[in-house]
Amino acid sequence: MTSSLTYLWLEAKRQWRNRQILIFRLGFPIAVYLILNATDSDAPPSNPGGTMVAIAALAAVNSGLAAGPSLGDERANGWLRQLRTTPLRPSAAVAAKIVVAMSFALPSIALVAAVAGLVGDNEGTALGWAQWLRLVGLMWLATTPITAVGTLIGLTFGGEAAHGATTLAFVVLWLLGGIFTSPDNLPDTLAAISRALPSYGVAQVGESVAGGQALPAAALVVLAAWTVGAGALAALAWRRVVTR
Amino acid sequence: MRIDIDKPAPIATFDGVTRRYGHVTAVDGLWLQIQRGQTVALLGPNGAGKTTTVELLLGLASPDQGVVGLFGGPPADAVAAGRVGAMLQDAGLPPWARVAELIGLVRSLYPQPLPLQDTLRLADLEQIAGRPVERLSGGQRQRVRLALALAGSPELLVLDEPTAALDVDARRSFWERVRAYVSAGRTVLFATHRLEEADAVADRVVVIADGRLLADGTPEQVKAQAAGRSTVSVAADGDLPRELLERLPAVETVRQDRGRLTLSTSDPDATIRALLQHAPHARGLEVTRAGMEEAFLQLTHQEGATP
Repeated sequence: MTSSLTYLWLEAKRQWRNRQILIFRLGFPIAVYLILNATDSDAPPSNPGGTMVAIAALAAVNSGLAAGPSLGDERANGWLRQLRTTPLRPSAAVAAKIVVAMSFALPSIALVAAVAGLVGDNEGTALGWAQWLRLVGLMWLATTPITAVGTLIGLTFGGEAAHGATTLAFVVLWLLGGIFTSPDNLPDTLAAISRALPSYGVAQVGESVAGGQALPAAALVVLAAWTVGAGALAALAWRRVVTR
Repeated sequence: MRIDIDKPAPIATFDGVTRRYGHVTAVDGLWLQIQRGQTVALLGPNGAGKTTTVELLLGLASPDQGVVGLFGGPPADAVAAGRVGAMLQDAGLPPWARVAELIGLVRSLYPQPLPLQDTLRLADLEQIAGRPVERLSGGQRQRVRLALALAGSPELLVLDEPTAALDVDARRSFWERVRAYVSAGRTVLFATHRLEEADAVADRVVVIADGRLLADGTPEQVKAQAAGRSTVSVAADGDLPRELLERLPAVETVRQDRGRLTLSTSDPDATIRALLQHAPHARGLEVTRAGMEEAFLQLTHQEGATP
């Protein structure tokens, strides 16, 4: 147990030390929010929480997929094989990557929500403190399946391919996953896909909190299914990746 | 042949192990036992199957046929129990970690690790313990990788071409460090393509080529097996058929190279007498006593030539 924590702690220190990645992970969603806020501030929000929830979900995707390139690089340079010669359990290694990605997702989501509360025209200012905390906390927990997807991508594609696959997943979740547009605006097939994507679940959780409604059961099922499915596949991929 | 030290139970066994990658048979019916306390060199030319053998032993590859055993069970169990430490060929280190942090990680994974200071001292890393991995030189990285293999104080240390990137001085001090670690009854298996390294470091040498075991014994025994060979070289003329040369007495291999035919022979006198009898016009004859490296190459080529 302590050995798993040591690995987790080292992973966290390593990734938080990289300033460039830190700026990208925390700064990018804020920049997107500020741009959108400056361009369409007159339009009424189409959903509870409006732009704030959508961009907080974008922040969740952006940080949640972070394990992909990191694992892809470690797979390519042989570090994962080196770890495989030690008693480190594959499940502990995968869990650590997920937790570290989660450690980026929390401040990333919170910063978007904070900026929205400070400069946003409608949505963030309407929330009380308790609701704001609930929004950030629940959207953060809903990010778990996205971190599992990132881990799975990193273990399935090595090196450059992992970077490419992560970007592709990011674009798909952004454009199709209920962030860029609601599934209601999509044709039936795409709408069904959209509602089954984890980013849609994250956005749904945010909207329900912002709108003062109960958490949507369908979205929670989708999030749980992605967490279990991608997490289990990632643990399997860890074994396969390093064993020839 | 085997070395018997009171016949203790072997800690590692290859029982008829074969491993193929596509059409390439990397390890071909390997039978091998390694006893506790031995320092074993796995010697062979590039592409001989050394790395695959190491990977099979560590559970990083699984055999197509046969069984690999490590400490009486499957390799993965021995690895999970922290009985093995490994230095893989060209394994990278993760960036933004400091040297002492990586060693600390490995120490935390093993049940009875070496003290951190001992590990740093053994690998000569005391001065750079706080340095980030991305600012290390090649030689320093190599020492960190050795430290990671030693830090858990494993019973079996497995090193795959550990000195490939080092110069002569660094190589010598590397092996001094390994010896300092091994003294307490630990077992070492290292892969190398350098005969002199196997000779200097190991107390047992296992020679493989094309995935098959060619020789196994003390360095002296293996050298004796490889030595005692000479080469007879002759100008390659049209009326000198290769088949004839291959049938000459004591000839083991025939190579053709830049207009000359080179025969490896265990009895150059007999070979030359017979050659002149069959081909009285043969010209440009040269006889060379094989050096150690050449003899080793012949030993491996000879086996490689058989289908």
